[in-house]
Amino acid sequence: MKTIDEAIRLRPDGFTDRSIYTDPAVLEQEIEKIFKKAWVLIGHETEVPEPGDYVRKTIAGQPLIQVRGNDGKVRVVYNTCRHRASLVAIEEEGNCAKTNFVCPYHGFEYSADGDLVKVPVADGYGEWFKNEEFGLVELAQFDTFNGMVFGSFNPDAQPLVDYLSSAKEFIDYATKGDGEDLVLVDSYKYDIAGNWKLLIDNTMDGYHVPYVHGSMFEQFGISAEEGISGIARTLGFHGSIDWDEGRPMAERNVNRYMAIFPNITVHYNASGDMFAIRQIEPLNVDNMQVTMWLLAPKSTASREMNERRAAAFTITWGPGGLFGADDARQLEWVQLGMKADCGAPVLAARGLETGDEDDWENEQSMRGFRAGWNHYMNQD
Amino acid sequence: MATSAQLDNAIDPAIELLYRYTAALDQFDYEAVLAMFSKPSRYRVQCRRNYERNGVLHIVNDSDEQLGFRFASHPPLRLEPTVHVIGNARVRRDGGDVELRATFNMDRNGKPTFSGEYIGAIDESGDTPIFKELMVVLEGDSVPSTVQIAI
Repeated sequence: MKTIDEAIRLRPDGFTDRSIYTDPAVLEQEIEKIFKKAWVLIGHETEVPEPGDYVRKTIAGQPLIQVRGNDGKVRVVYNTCRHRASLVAIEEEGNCAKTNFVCPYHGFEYSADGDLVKVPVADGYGEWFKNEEFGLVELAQFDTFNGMVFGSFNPDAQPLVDYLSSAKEFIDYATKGDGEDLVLVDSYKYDIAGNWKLLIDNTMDGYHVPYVHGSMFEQFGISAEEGISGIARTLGFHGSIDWDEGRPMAERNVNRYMAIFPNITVHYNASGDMFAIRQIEPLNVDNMQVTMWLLAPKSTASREMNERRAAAFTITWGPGGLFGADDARQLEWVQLGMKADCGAPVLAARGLETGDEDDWENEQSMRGFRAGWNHYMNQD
Repeated sequence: MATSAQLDNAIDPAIELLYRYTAALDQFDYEAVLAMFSKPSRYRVQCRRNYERNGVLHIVNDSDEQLGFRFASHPPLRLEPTVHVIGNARVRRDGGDVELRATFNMDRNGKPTFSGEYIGAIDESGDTPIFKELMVVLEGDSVPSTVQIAI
């Protein structure tokens, strides 16, 4: 019979030191080695539908702007003036097609394309100062996939399509209607008092459902332990859970929740064709901020349909939803428990030895995420 | 010498309803809270940003039935006492319509947690006023905490 020490030695990926959830030094490394090396979600193209539309973003602590240029292209640029570093976009969102981004400090003006178009009293600089060399600085890489805007601070990051690799067809199902583009319905942000990784773990965890959400299921007269099932998949560093309940995928009747490494979850609820994306940003080691976008197929995104989608979404997910609020509260309790300096690792070991890898109550998707975490954290 | 207006300390019944509502929440008396809503009625929580632009996404968007379901699904978190403080309450009556507005702060566990505005539509046809609709508009860029029960 194996001992726990042998189990840890054979499959260390099933056992996690608590400090990765509680040590500020680990978070600092995560920012540098994961958030600034991998591809991360910036936003969605339909947040900025018109030329000049922009949204401020903070990713890995970096001030950014997602902006649709006058040329129609979506760009990601740093929100900082090339003169004295002030933010140039002050409002959270807006349109700069006619107004440009005007630095509030000394009046440097940048177009929606990021070009420096005006320098007050410009003749005070020498010949070396050329406007074309002082535009807003673009993020090292940015690209889109099914309307999602991704970026990387790493100029050497592999192409986005390769990064998403084996998860692409699953992401297609969860982020694209029947071949139809999605549009933004609405969005909001909320905070959870827990380490950012906990919500990724939670999304890939079918094991908790009968317990955290048990009282909610009881109200519906459903036995969560018997009535709900799913299939979990590890897709490289990404993961997917299908709430299939015997329903055919081809009819788009299967709910799918995914985690895209490192900090994105996507959700497709077949009921009402609801699509949602959550971006998880660490505020500090004990707190995360979640940006949530609700999306819908363009052809059915009427006000009436969107109100129905939003109502259905609100009652389940988000900080006031019957699932979402329960999860968030549970994660707060996990974060407090993680602080116990007791030397005992936390487990993501269920299913390690059964070979039943696709059982959604197993924890293989958490282990897939952890493999990604190890991959990036162990790079120089 | 005080005028009669200055001596009139009666609280407007619509404002008193809001006082009773927040007091009942702070006392975990959810039955009393539900009794303050008409059937049908709506209870909503929304961020200021979404509210101002008539966004469809809410933090909470419950019918009276769903609000009862919310309370039934979540036993009172008595270890997390809340305190509501209400300010700048005013009532506007226009024909049969009664609108109540007030700012508020809510502490949870002694820590400032939510601030915002109550916007209520009041039914005054019965013996005591009740909410036909209560909208809670939260200030700030981000909802700062979970909303399992009500605010």
